[in-house]
Amino acid sequence: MDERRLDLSALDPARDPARWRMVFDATLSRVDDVLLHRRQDPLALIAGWHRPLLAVAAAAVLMLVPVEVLLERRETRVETVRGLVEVSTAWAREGRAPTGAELLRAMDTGVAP
Amino acid sequence: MTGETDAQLVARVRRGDRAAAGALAERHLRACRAVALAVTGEESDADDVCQDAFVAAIERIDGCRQPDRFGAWLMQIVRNRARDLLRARARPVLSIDGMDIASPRASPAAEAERQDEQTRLLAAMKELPEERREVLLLHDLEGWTHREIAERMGLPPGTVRSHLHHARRRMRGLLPELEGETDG
Repeated sequence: MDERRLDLSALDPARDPARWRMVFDATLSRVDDVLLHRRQDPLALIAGWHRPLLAVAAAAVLMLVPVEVLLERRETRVETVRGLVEVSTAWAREGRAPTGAELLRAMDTGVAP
Repeated sequence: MTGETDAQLVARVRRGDRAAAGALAERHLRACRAVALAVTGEESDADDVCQDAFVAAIERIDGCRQPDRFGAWLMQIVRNRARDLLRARARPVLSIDGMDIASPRASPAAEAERQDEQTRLLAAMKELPEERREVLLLHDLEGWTHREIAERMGLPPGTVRSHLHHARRRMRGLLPELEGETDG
């Protein structure tokens, strides 16, 4: 491997600092105009925030989905118990034992027959 | 120079912060010029292209999807701008005719010597593929490491080493008087 660095200093912008300073200052002057326009344009500022806002929204969704799933399961269990209670109450009131199908349906859907 | 990361500076620029844009320019403008020089082969074009590309990057700062990789994103804008310039002119890359690299402050003798040196270097670089020119300038002129170049150019580090080796060997073959020091 050729590990000797080439002397390219003739191409170094620092060899002519005044010229390079002019390039740098001209660049920043044009950037100033861009940023001034940006500060005066509320839509551009909002556009600058849209990525962080999207990230926050995504994080919120990630946190809320498991909570929603938990609540959903809990609700399903409550409905099942309620269905069984209604079946049992009807059995006691009417003196008629529920059929196996009625019990299964109550446990499965939480809806009394 | 600020100790903030590129991502932090980009976030500040998005809020219209001028000082952050200045810090990004301090950090990246020289490399922009090196990349532009690798494509155009002319100092005056490289100065124009690096300026235009940096301003364009600030204008489109919301489109920078990975602010921590602002440098690589900016380099791609520079390459595109430089190639557009050459296409628009429809002239060969790295023509050494009619170079305008005079400095208004240098003495005529010193300027002539510098111009001659630049002309020979740029003419020799014309013999290298564009990617090798870019690697050579970023490493031997800008002092970047192989790893930094690999990250910015999206190349494997082994390819960067290989490009550098071949570029140096070719340049020494063309310009035997080129001196250099061993990599530290």
